[in-house]
Amino acid sequence: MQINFEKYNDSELCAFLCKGNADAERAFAELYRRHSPRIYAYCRRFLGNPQEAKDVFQEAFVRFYQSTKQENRDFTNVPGFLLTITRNLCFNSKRKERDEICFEDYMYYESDDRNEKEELLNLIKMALEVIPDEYRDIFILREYNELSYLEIAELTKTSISNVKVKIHRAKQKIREILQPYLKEKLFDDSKNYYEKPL
Amino acid sequence: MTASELITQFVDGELSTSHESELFSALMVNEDLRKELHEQMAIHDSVRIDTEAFNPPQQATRDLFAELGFTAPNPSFLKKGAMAAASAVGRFSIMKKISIPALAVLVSTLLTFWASSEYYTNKYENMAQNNFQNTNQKDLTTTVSKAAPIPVVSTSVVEKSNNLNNNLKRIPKAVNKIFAAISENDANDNNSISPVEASIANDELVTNTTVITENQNNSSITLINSSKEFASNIPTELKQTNIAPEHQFAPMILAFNKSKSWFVEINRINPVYSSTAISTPYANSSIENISLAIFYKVKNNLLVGIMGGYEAFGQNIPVTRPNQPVSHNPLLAWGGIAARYMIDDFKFYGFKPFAQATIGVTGGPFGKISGGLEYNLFNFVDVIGSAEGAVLLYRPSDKYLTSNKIAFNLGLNFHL
Repeated sequence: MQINFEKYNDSELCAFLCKGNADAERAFAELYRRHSPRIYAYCRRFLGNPQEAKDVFQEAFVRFYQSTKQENRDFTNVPGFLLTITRNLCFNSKRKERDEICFEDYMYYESDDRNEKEELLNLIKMALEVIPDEYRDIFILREYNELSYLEIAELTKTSISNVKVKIHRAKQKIREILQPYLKEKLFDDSKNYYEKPL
Repeated sequence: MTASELITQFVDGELSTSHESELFSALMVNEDLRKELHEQMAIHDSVRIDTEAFNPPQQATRDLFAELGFTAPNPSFLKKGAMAAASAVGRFSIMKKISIPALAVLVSTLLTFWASSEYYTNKYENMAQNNFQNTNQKDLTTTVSKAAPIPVVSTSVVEKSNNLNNNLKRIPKAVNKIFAAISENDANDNNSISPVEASIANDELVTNTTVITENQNNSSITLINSSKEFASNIPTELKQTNIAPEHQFAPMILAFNKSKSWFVEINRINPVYSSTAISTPYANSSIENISLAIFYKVKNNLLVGIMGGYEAFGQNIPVTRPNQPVSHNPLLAWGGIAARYMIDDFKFYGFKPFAQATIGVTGGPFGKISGGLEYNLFNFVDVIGSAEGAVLLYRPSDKYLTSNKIAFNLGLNFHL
């Protein structure tokens, strides 16, 4: 009889992985289904380069799988553990290829925009390429992975007040980069939502 | 902490309530801060549509599973996760915000209707029990019939007994004298009992009290009124239906016929408490905080209708720059449906209580629960006073915010 793995939590699925049988494969697939989108989002937006992101993304899951084979490891926070591996890999990758700019990505960013939000999103992606790693890291953790300040503090092993400051600075830097666009699009068109009731 | 930092935390949903007030005060007076808030929200919202980032390439999945010696799962199996993650970024926090107020509205509505249902169930059970006891008591009809063999209050056999017992309790001793007088009159004039309209029109015929009786030649119930004052107080609707005010169904019939089934209502909303939210000084104070409704009476006690309003949600921040023109308007227009349950036969000095549930939308869903009193001022106008609690989700620039509010309303209800 097939087991429905959707009903198990992450820790229980990790226990299946340790067994290394057919259930392990299905348990891994379930964990991958749950967490791969956010892990990939982190890689994709942190590294910018799709190929590099793909490599790091794969490597992160391989390391995670290998970790589950280790005895006495606590898997109470699988997404946090996966993000820790991913962040380390991303930072290492960035160190190796610092200052390289992927032409392909810029071509992608300049694709046809369907609306202003997409246009702004493409600019945000570009801005993420430019800002320092520590700010990009914290911005992605907040905006893409939707971690709270407390969770980010635990993951990055810093204080909440430090997280607050870093997030604010990261957003200010992105705002500064996008300023010409924001000024033109958001305010010249008189789109201030305060001025009209919903 | 700078105002700019407060904005960042506000957009991230990490700002404490105490700091929110500080932020709103700053927003009210600083145009640049409002621009910054708008920019940060625009950035925040744009990230929400970045679905491409949440879809790992299929090749990456295949390579990874191959590397681990596994068979790659079906893409449709993985798609569920990708879609959930992508949408969760944009919607999970929204769902969290929606679910609690929505649940509160649902529970409150159910409680309101449950309480009403309990009230009526108990009421009718007691009524049935009383009637049962009355029918087992000594038959008063016999006793009274000796003095006045005429009185019968209903064409229905069952009702005769019950209603007679109930109604006879109300009849003063003087009635017997009237019965006697009527009997004498009967003997002299065969046209013994006048139909209700005739007797009301001809008040001179009767003297001091009210008698319920039955026209022997006519199965309809008739009324003889002894007082001009009483006659003038008989509702028009009852006069038209020939039903005595003491009749057990009179209140219901009166309620049914009191007006047509449509009502228009206008309410002035007076907020007394509001949770904090983005708010700036009002622009159109003359038309703020009103609601308009059209109700239809679907049952005797139940009105349903559509409502719309234009009111301030969120914290009311006083205008601190009276000499400067105020260009921003925080008022929200909303529309929705409402159900009002009138407790029709429970009156307190003429005030009828009611409970109402309203659900609707602005930029997001909102719900209101209110309870109040209705007073019939004229034949076609009721005065409405109520207290309401409202939970609202609204969405300025795609950002969902919640607001709770308590208000007292005063309004007029016109019967069409």
